[in-house]
Amino acid sequence: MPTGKKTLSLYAILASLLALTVIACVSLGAVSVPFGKVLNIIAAKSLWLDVGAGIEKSQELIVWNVRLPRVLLAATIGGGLSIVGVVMQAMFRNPLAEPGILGWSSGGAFFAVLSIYTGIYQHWFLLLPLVAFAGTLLTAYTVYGISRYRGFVENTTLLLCGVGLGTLFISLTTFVLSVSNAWSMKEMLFWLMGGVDSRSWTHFAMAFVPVLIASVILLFYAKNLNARLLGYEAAKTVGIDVERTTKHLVILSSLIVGASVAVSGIVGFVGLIIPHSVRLLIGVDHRRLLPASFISGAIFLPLADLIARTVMSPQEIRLGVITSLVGVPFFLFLLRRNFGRKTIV
Amino acid sequence: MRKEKQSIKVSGLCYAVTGKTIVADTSFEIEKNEFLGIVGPNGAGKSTLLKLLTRILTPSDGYILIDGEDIFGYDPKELYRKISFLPQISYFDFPLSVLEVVLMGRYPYLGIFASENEDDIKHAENCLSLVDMDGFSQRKVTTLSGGEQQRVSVARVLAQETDFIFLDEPSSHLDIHHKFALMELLSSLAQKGKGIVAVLHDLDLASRFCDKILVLENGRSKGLGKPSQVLSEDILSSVFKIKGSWDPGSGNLSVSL
Repeated sequence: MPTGKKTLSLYAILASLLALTVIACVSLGAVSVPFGKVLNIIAAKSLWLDVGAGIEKSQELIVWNVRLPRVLLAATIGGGLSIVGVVMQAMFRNPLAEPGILGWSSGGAFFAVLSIYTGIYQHWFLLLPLVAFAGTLLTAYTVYGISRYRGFVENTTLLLCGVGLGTLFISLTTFVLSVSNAWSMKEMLFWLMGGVDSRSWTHFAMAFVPVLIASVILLFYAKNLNARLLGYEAAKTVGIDVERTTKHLVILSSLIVGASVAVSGIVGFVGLIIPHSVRLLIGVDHRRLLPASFISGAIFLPLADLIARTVMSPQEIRLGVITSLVGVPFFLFLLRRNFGRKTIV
Repeated sequence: MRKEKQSIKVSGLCYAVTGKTIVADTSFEIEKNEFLGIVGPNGAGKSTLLKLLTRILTPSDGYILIDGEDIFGYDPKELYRKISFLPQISYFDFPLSVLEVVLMGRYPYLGIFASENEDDIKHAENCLSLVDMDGFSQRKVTTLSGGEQQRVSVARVLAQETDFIFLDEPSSHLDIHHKFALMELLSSLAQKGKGIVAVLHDLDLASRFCDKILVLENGRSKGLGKPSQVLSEDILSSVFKIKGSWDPGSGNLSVSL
């Protein structure tokens, strides 16, 4: 079933859309660079060649140094946050679970800010995402630990606990930023309403390495996640080691969330919008849902970022503002749909 | 493997949580070829016993041997190729298709990246027709009624092809026709060599279809044996607080308050 011709053509379509999105997003902006030239520059630069005649130095800089890392970073965290949304919703059997809502992103962001203002991050390029990962993991386990009672996680408690802890970490982030430098307002905006503006290839690498590794490993848990949809007892008795694999899933998801917030701040609701939309299109089987959500998220976030930097140009809207504008109505709709449904993990 | 010991042996089983004993010193044996009904008043520990037998809970004392080997000695997939479980409540919050749900019964047989093949799908379809759900395989479970969802869950358990099947109140959401159909199905599976263990509330139904009955009260066994022997007037009045008698003509149990 999952690897039929239909599935392959689905991936082919999604992959072409992703490629098209990346090129379009690099091409469009305050200064537009024609498609052909974008392709030319990307091809030449990635093969370490000189870009040909007819391409201005400024175009080369815009495409290669400014827009491409930004667009690829948006694609990376869009894919990462979407796949985490899918995992969290199946793991907690809660359609409203998402890294932003459950406080994971805020926890990660706070630790990222701490590592920057203590200088820890300077020692190795992956230290910043790793510290953010530690913060995310800590938050994830605290939220999980508090909302777990006699082996069960109650849905509403989980959500409220996540929102509560998230608020705490946002306050702490604000506090650290406000006592540590003169640019605190701008910095606060960056972390609390995340974005991919002024991001370099280093930032891209910081996010891409952990997100890609963790996402690929998560694909191995597709059937595990399917079985969890039947509830704890049924999942256990079709041979899923629920307790042990929950740990794996939380760690892998935290790695993705940590790496994402470490370079882009909190970009909310992606993990809600994408998984639910993709489920409507292709169904619930995680063998398709995980990869399809990753690619769809990687398409969505660069487009959202394109809107963020073009609609009020030369002013940029924060990417986190755009995703919230789309995501909150989505969240409220889901909340309403699940109203009165008492589900227990 | 030890073919001669295809049974489940329960010995001195205890389960206590926060000081409260729920299952106390229960010992019995479940054999293939038999349909065992577990009955008892609310809070007698029936569901807990079933969860202990399926390794969902860990006993505080005692042991369970499956085919002569301790239940905790099995790797999960290996164990759940021998035993399967139908929980009391099935949760369907996500719009899985009926076929997708039933195919999950094949998971203990599949490797990490393997997918179900044609045989698995055919097998799943057969299981669906056993519970009178032919033609439903592409429907979303979320659009089905409670009873239909229950039958899909039974099909999922059957798809697991285990020697022993444990069911917690399998007939609770079913209409009278499907209630009898399910009990007949379980009884015929037992005749074909499976060991069936079901928690049942309906004593009449249990006495009609089960080969053996286990009566539980306050976590303790009050008797195990043929329905007509175990569900004596004494037990019915002391454990269930009802009057009951066996009709010598039809061999059926009739109960009243």
